[in-house]
Amino acid sequence: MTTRYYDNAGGSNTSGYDTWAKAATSFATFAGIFSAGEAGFLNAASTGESVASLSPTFAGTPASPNIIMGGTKATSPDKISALTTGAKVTISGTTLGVLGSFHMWGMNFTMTSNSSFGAAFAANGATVQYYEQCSIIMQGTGGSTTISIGSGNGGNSTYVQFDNCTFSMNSGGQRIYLQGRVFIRGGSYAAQANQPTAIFNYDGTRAAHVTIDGFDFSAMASSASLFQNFGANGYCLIRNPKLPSSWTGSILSGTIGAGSRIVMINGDNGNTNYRLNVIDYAGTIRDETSIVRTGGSSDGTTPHSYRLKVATTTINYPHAMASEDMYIWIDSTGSHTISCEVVYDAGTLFNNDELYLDVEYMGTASQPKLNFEYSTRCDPLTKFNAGQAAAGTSSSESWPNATGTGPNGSSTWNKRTITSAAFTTTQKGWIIARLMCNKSAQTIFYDDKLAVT
Amino acid sequence: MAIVSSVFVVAPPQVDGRCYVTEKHQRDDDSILEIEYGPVDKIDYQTVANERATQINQDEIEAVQHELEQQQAQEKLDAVFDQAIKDGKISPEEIKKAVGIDVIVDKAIGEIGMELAG
Repeated sequence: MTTRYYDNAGGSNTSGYDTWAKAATSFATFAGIFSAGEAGFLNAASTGESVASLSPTFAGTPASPNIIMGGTKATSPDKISALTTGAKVTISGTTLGVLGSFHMWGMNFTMTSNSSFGAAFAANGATVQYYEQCSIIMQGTGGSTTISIGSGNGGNSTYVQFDNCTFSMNSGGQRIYLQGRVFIRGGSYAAQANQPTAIFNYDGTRAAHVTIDGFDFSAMASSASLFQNFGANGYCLIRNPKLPSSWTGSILSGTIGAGSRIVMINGDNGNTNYRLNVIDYAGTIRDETSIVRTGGSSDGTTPHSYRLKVATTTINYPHAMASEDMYIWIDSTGSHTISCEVVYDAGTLFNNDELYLDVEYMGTASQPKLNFEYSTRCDPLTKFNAGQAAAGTSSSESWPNATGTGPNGSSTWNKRTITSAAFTTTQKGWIIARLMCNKSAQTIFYDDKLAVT
Repeated sequence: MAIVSSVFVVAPPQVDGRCYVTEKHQRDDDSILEIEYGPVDKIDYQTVANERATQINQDEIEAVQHELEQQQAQEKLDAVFDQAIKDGKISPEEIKKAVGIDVIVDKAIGEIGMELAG
């Protein structure tokens, strides 16, 4: 394996590019010389390359990726003395497409064209790109410029990860398009003169499975949304992001496609730890600290519950809006039930095919295969024979602030206990429960502190 | 489907005094786009709703533009294939059998020298 070098500040651009003296001065040339599996160094002082277009194609594959490390140049032997950010290529035109599979550390791609265009990272199929301490900066002000991450026209099957990377845009309409598997861990958004009205977009052309952990969004506009639109067949999990103070944005300002869900866990600008913000095709969920159950879920200081609203989109049995998974450990085998306390305002009680509990438990002694119990949800034949399903069980629990006219427009508050049918665990283990509701456009409050018998 | 009117509803305060706010934006086809934000301290909710309506209308104009650009990019890609076939660089059978379309695209880029990225 030959080691390759990029040094726009001091290389001689000599074929082979296999020493600092012979280092490539063009990033595209540098990328093109690699064989699969080879490693290369970027001189962190290489900040001067400016090209009209950049389409670096690395030969690395998912099985044999290239390793590209930015750092402080060292000689005898030629390598870097430490990983350092700083290496930068400026793209002045309207072409940027980075292809191939690699782990890249410390590279900065800065785009300056004021014309709208689409930059693409990992646009081809069967690609794994892992960026660490890298920056993708759109300085140009093109009104509809996009930065596309993953599976583009070139094919599916992409995995793109960004660890502690910086993203920035410079126009209200600019977006980062996400497709395929994208994992953003740490890092931040950097503000410029013009702020985008949303950071991301997923147009649903291909499936998207996105995880964003610990990202700092606080420099985006306080009115900006995280996603403009979120197409069909997508899932995005956002955990513990820092948001702008007095954020009036939403995790989604446009529409969500069928079967898609965005979950933001504990997103805030303050030191809270119970935030939940879910937008699903079938409804929404938000954390709630006013209408809470006495003795219910709490972080030790602030009691809280969750407010689940079913979408006005036609949602009906058996399609339902699901809560997030609620876990409870059962430390014994035998017969059990799980209960979830809810309260809602409505003149007519919800039936047990409209509000019910979906429970998964370890019911097979010899293997981990889960068994399922749809609590009191009536089966289709029972409903057919009876003409309608039955109402749930009333509860004596206290929800002190469940008074006055509620979100459903009624002043009649109904406290109910949604209890599963008895099930038998044959192993100790986690029980997974989801509260399900398909009463269109109706809101319920639920407590995720489950009860077990 | 431009937004023609925007109203808001402020929910009862949370334990810290802040409130969730639900905006309802009515489009010119009578459909409603509902957006909830917060919890926030008391602000000028109507101004926030009006600004968001302006944003959404602008976003939708740009989305149409983006779709047009995607279409143009696809046409450009099709033109590359057509040229490659015409020049005998890539056979139609090769395209039909293409399992990894990226290989074909790379070949087209390499042999015809056209830029496709973006």
